[in-house]
Amino acid sequence: MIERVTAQKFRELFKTRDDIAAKWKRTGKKVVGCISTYTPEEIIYAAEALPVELIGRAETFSKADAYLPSFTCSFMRGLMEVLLEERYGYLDLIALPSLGDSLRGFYGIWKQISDNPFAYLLHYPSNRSEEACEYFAEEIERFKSYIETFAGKTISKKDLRNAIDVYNENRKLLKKLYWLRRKKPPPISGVEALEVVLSSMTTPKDLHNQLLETLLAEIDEREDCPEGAVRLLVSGHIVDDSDILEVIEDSGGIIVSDDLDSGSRYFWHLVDTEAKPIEAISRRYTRIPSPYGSPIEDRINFLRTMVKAFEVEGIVFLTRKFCEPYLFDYVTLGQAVKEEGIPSLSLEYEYPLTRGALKTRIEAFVEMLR
Amino acid sequence: MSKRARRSLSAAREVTSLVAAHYMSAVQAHGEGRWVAWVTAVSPPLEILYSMGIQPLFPENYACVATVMKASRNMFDVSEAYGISRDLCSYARCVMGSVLGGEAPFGGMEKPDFLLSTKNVCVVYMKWWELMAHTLKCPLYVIDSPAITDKIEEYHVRYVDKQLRDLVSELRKITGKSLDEDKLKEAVKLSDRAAELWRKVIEQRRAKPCPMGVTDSSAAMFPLVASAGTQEAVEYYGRLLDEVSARVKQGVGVLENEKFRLLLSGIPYWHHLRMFNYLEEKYGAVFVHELYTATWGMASLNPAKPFESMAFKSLLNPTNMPIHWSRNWISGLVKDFDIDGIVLLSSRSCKATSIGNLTIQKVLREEYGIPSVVLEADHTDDRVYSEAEVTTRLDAFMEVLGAK
Repeated sequence: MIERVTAQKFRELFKTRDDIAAKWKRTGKKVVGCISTYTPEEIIYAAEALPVELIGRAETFSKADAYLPSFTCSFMRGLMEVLLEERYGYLDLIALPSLGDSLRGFYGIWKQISDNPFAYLLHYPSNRSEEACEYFAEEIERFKSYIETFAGKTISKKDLRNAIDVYNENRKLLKKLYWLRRKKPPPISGVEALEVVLSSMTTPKDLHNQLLETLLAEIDEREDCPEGAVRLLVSGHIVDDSDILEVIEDSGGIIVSDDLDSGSRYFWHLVDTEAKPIEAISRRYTRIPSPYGSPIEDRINFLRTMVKAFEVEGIVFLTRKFCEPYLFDYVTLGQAVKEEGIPSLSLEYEYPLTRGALKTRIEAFVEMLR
Repeated sequence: MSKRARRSLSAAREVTSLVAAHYMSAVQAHGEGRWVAWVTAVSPPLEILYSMGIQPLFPENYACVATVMKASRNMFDVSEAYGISRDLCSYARCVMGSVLGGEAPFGGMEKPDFLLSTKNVCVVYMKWWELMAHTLKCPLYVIDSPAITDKIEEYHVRYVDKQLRDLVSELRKITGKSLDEDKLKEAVKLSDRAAELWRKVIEQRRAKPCPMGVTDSSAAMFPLVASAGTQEAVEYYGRLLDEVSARVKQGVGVLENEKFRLLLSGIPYWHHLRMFNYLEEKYGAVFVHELYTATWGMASLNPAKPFESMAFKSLLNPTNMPIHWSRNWISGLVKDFDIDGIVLLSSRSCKATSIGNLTIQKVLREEYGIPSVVLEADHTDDRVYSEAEVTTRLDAFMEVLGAK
């Protein structure tokens, strides 16, 4: 009897990600922690290593506080804590794109204090010129050489093309799943959709593709579709724990779309299979509408498209404390959606979550939209 | 108590009028039909701008001036009311207050024709400049400097070099003016000369007693920030060097009785510069070097290879360099300047200059036995400054250094 695949399966995958990575490592292959949305994972996959999203989730910072000031981006602070606690003992390498000042600083500090895991910094370009795209391609080439030595595996053209195909397949499947959320009610909740994406960032892609295909084949049969009074979109950086979205959906909203690193931004764009692989990968990663070099108009347009396509009634901007790039963008995005008459709510949060206070604000927002 | 021996250097006192003249020069530039650009403060290609007749203005310096003039609070209020988080760069919040129409020194900065941002200091520079460009509806050019992870490689330089050349052709499109290569070479020569003189001034501070303290030094770096590439800057640093050298020859120091020699890391807390007087007067402790002010004299320029050397200079910015580079730099300075201890200023809203401080402190202590103290406040926002706390920490630190 074939196991039924429901959204629950992806929650389990995500919850057991440490076991999955540890199991992978026992086969003698490498595990590479990364910031999945901005690290060319295809290279890691092609070297037969497992790329996994770095989850910086801590509630206390007793170890990190020795190295990072309290005003460091809360995500990086959490990551420092869990790495120092050796919670991810299976990691061989962390590959970090140079997205923000906290991230750049984190890399430098880590290099000073530890080589377990090793750390590698990729320059992620801050503009969208042809030159920046070419430079990022060179940067990917350098990363490829590094990984080849590190993993002891030469990446052939065929390996690279295969990696692109597998990743594109995952992106297409995730997009297909996302499009279903246009239905009323959507067949999956925001929490479930997040867990599908997060598990994609931590599970071997071939397995994830298989499970996604089964999910898509069976999802129409779902009878207990999630309910919610108003259709919301969440916008922000990486949301690496579903708890914050749970608070939103427990407050009467149903999340039907997003503009998150751990959401649409992770898979919306494909790598062009007609172009030269490295160039194509570079182009794909540098055209994601993000706070890291995109004109703000690209982000506004993306939000506008999503709001329209998914019949969104309100936007919740989520920002982890001290996340500078998103706090800056929010100034303009908040104004822009206001001008377009789209109601929005901005929530800054950190761990431990203050659920009660967050819930009160979201409920008031949902009430207003009802 | 140690009496301060001298008044400020006369070259440092000149700076007040130079600053006012600088902000006026943009008004004048517009009057003459020339272009005005708002640029980031550390190694933007000023030489290109000056040789094309474009007048640069420095929002970062403007925030600093507004703070020294005690005019920044109202500017913070305006930008925070607009939705700019209090956790964001206080320079940015201060300037945005003016951009959004808040009351500000000199009636606000002359509006720019375009904005130019470099990423060699921080990623926030980019985000701040994007916000200004959007608010002012101005074109924005970004020089995407890669952060250095080990040493500056040929490919880093090539990438920035290429972007500088692109900038020139973009500027030709919008201003209708071409770059005169001879003028550029001349500006590069002048810029290099001013930086060289500044390095010589810094070298003079190895003398005991030290001829120039942090307050004068923080003022005297202004012409290099704003006017590198002009004859005026070269003349200014000539005068400054003469004055500082004369003090050294006469054995005159900032303090009559110099007891401790300190090194400063980080951006001065502009609203409480009197913190430095406190150390001088109470402990006979003088800052003989600052990483911050030295930033503007890091690299030489080569008029024969203007683009390449400007690119290199832009990359060789301390916050763009890895921590092990800073560690080597600092430990070398401690030896060369016979430094007793280090004061590291962290700023809540400036990750780039603050995030590594605890690690650097640990490394300096463990590997070199150098004592240091990390303070935490904000470089521009005096609302998060506690004088009592800072004084207590400084007192404790001076006790560690052996002060009675």
